[in-house]
Amino acid sequence: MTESDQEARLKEALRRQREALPEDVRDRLAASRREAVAALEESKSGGWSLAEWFSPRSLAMAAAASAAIALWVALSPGGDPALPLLSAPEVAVVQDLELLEELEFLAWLEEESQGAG
Amino acid sequence: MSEASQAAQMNRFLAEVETSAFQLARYAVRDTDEALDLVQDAMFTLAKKYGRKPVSEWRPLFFRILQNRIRDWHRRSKVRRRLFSESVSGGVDRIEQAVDVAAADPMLALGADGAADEVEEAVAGLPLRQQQAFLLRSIEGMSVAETAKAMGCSQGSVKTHYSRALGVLRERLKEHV
Repeated sequence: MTESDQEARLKEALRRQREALPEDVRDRLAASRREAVAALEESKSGGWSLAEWFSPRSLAMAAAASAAIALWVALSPGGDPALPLLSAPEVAVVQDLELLEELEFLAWLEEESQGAG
Repeated sequence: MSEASQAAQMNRFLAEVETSAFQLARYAVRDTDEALDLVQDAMFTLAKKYGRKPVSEWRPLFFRILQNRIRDWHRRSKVRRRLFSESVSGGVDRIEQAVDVAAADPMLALGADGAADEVEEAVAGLPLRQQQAFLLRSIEGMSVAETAKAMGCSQGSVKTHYSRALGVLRERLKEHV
């Protein structure tokens, strides 16, 4: 018997063993699979993708939140002394630019990882 | 790709690999329940963390995750064994008290004939890395490059592990296969 014959017979023995798996083991594997697929669907509905980050609604929310924070900091008595030099809308614009830069960086990272994968 | 079709693809992919993943894990840990837990964990991690990756990347990723889980399991077992041996006082026969997982797991005695039992025993007796390289290539039909990716080692190491595993199995099973 040649070496490749032996190898083929070994593979065949392993295949037969796999096919002879008891029903309860198969059931448990199927249950695990269903849970994993449910987790995938859950992560999609619950997660935030970069496309969602860049959506007009998200950017508008970010801008509104930045403006509110800047206004609150600028108007508070013990606020950052540098902030009153800028008006609240200017602060909001600066912060939005920083946010956009960060989002661009994240998008670049994502592209890099896709390119590498 | 729509969410429904991605979920269907994930379901199909996992259905394709689940029995071989289980076989691979059971040989590695020699316990059916532990093997099922490891496969479940690998499935969950793939779906949750890497479900957005392209479908073509799922297979190497899945088996890489499973390999990592198996390795972690062995590390934990090693620590448990060490703690166990340190906590047992003198005068007790430690070997007698140790659990023989192969004997404890009825599935390891499963086999339609003597040859199946011999194959089971011979593969289970291989060193872990040799065993996993052999099984990934034989059961999953992975290439050397894919196996290296799944095991996190070089292609040269995979070739060495696989060739040594085959040599040992041929020697041990010359009367049966």
